[in-house]
Amino acid sequence: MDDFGDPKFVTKLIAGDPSAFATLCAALSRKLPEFIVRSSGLTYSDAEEVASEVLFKVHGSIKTFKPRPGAKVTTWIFEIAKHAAIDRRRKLHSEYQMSAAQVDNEETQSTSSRAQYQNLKTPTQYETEMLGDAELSVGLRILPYKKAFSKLSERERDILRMRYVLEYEEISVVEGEEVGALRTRHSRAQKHLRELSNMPGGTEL
Amino acid sequence: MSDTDRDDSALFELFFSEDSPPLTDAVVDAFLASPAQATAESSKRVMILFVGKVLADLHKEPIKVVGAEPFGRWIETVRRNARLALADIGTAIGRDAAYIERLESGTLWPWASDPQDIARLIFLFRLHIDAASALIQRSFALSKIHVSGDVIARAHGGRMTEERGNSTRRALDMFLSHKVKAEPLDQSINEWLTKVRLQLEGHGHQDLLS
Repeated sequence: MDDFGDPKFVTKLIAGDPSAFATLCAALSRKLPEFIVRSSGLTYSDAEEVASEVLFKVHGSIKTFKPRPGAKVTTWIFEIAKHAAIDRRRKLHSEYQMSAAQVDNEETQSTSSRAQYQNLKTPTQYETEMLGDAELSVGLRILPYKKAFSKLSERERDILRMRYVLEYEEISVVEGEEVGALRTRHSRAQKHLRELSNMPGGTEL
Repeated sequence: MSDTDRDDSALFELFFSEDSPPLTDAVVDAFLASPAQATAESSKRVMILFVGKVLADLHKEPIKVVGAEPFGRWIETVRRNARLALADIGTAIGRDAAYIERLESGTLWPWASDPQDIARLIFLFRLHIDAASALIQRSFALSKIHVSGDVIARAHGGRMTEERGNSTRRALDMFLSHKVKAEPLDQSINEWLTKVRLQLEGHGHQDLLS
């Protein structure tokens, strides 16, 4: 994998060098869909659409990129991808609700329209409850966890977030640690987070 | 929803909501360095969608009016304006960067290509078939007088570079293309153009045909 944090590379990107952007695209066109699928639960088809939208946005705004201290251009792009995936989930959920309402209002349905309705991505119970009327309170609901998370050490925060999108075996390749050691590290970070946020124990993150 | 489920949901939101803490270099670098990645087919679909969005943003309506440049040089000009690399276009039509480079430079004339590849290019670049035909006519006229061999040019600093040579070659092509008299297309090229048109029809790109 190229070093996308190399200042020379970033300078070329910001200058609008097509070959530099092509190098970035070559790597991110494989990584972004996978990241979006793992972090959001979207299908690959949706994730590919979101990833292309992210690359399009970045392509159009790369000249205005101002690196914040400690954040690489790739981190900026993945953050954009995270928010784009959140938007897509919200849109899908909204479409699902509209379709469901439409179906409820129709007294007679053809077999094909019923099948189409049933094929729509069905939100989980979590989505229904969390993205429904309670959407406005998301910030408040996660506040204790957010505060607790900020109190963890950097190492603890990293393992929790890595585990969220990577398998232990994959983290092991990157971190050079045994899977068993990683499990212990993750378990301790998880326990620490629960203690700090007064969460009940016993659930897997 | 039980308390336990609610806790898990909140943790999901901690990492995946508008309010979640920003990603860090450590996490993103780990993901980039890990074996986790989508398939090559998935990557290709992303690139096709991405390049299509960039070019559609540049030309929202099919292009019906073009200049007197040959097909390849027109593609090159638009690609450069869109700040896309040869490889981007190549990936989007299922070919490599070298193929696009040869097409742009006139080393490979469009009618020597698979009609399907050119139809994909025409669709990608939002080029109306009439405009595409006009560009191909220019390419054909230019092919009759094309300068063979590499052009070498000297920059102001006195250094001969490939880039400078390509730039001069481009200028020469544009000059000749404007000066050369249009000639009727060969029968074989007309037949090839019909195949391109059929490809566009087959894929339902009526806006590029009507």
